[in-house]
Amino acid sequence: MLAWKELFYGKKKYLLIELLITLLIFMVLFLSGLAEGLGRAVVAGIDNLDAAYFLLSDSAEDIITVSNVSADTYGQLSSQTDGELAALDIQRMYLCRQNDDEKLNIVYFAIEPGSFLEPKTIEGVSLSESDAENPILLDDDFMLEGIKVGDTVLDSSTDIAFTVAGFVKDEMYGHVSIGFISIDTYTKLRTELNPMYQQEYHAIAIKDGNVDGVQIEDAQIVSKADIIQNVPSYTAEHMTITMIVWVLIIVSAAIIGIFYYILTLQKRRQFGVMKAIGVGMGRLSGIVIGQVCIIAVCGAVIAGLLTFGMAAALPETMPFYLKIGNALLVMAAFIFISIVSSLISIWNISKVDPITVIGGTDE
Amino acid sequence: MSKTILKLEHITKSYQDGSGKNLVLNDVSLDVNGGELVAIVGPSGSGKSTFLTIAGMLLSPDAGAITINGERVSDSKKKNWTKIRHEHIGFIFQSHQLLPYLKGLEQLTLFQDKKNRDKVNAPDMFTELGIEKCKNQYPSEMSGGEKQRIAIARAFINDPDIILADEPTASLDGARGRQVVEMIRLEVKKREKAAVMVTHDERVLDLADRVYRLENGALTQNNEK
Ligand SMILES: Nc1ncnc2c1ncn2[C@@H]1O[C@H](COP(=O)(O)OP(=O)(O)OP(=O)(O)O)[C@@H](O)[C@H]1O
Ligand SMILES: [Mg+2]
Repeated sequence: MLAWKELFYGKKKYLLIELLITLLIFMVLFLSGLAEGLGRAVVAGIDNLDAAYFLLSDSAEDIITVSNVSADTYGQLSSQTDGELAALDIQRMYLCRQNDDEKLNIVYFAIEPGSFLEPKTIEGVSLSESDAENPILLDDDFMLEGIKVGDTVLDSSTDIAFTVAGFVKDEMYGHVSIGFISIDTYTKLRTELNPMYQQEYHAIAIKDGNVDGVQIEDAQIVSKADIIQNVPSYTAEHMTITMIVWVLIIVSAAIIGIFYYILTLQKRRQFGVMKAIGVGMGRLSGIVIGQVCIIAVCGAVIAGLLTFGMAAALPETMPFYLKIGNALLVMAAFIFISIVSSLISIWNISKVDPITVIGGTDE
Repeated sequence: MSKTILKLEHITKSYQDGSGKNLVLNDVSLDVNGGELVAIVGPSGSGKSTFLTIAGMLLSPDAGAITINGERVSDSKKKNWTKIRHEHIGFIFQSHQLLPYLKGLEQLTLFQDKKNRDKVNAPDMFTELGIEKCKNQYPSEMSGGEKQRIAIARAFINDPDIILADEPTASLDGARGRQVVEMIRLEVKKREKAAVMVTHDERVLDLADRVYRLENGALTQNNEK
């Protein structure tokens, strides 16, 4: 009550502080969106797969791209788990448009058309619906290269032609946009490059179900989270950026704390008066925490709205990705640290000696 | 005769003063009854404020006892002092010391315990003290006398046993100062409080029931009255 009255009375001053705080949280949220977006550019393709586990070869050490499991492992695995299975191959290559020499980076994700690994298209039709010989689903970044549904694109090393069946959204691996092709097409590709090619998979995805009893020689079950952690460079990059974001959160919350501390120093006399007339530290702490909470929560909410509004207006190519959950975590951390940093103000108030109010003339 | 509410016995207090000791209060005793306004005068630096802060449970004496309504509060631990002040003591300061961000009535109601609402009615006090128009004003919109009257009302709001005022008229001119002391006297009589007022203002001494002079560490009653 007192907390609110004072904020209201000092509207101008506190609105300015609020503005500053809002901008700070906005900056933090925006950066964490960019950080997450950059991270997504590395692992979104894996993260989007609707699978809980993957079977990788032992020697791969959880790195999906160097794993290989033989085709007959598929049968073994299906007898050991009740989960739905789907094979997956991942191959980095180059793509060319017809009559154009420019090579475009692409990562092929080869899947069984119609399996649970196939993403939803945002334009065009799915792999299984397409009647082309070698259909491909491209990440929507390729749209920006002027590629359209129905176009023919070439694999640059084999000149095998794909027909663009449709586009999918937000599918990247290792900063490279993904193209989904069928395992059949993939086998053609590999056979073209190496006539001795024996069918094998990089991994077998398991949608869900019980995997406790799986025992396959030279292979092991790895969770999706572990695979993401082990995508080369992901953890290092992600950790660096995440750390920057957290440092910013702490710094901005500390700024609230310091601002508030300065205000507290100016109000020592008022706190002295309240103590003299018998207002206990409990209530005084309540005022401080109440005010800091109001400032921090308002700032966080406004900044959150701003960030999501801004995200909606951002161009597609900006790697911005922010889940509500993550944004809430950032805001909650911010509010929490603000409250912790307001403890120095409370400590300062607890040191105010109410005697100074008696017999004093200065005001 | 009303009973003794505030009892100060053999209060001694000295401050560390460079190399030596500065004995400010030397075995001072004072009893104040309900409905009684006691004034304390004395030269500057004689220890009047010190005496009041000791009576007000803001400072501990070197020796002596303080009893409020039969309860020997000087024995209680320092961490309980805020509660004792809250329950037993109302302060009126030299300058009003109102909170700038509260309107007149809020200065009282936000500090009043629920249980005291029936005993002391805040709007009624505004009427009694003739400051009804200040109920919805911020202190910056009031005159000095009005602010000091709200400060008086605030001192009574939690129905304390004793009222302590340190130079309540210092920031006011003669006529306004007298009015303010009249208000204190009015409320003290009406509510049967024991009040101690330190003042430099000789013109208001006739409003006090007893006048004491504090000098050289000793408290002596003025005989003129
Ligand atoms: N915290 C302190 N430490 C040391 N000496 C102090 C302290 N407070 C007061 N004194 C000394 O104690 C003496 C009494 O001070 P006090 O404030 O009680 O006087 P006073 O009678 O209220 O004076 P005034 O009329 O000017 O308000 C003064 O000599 C002062 O210097
Ligand atoms: Mg004084």
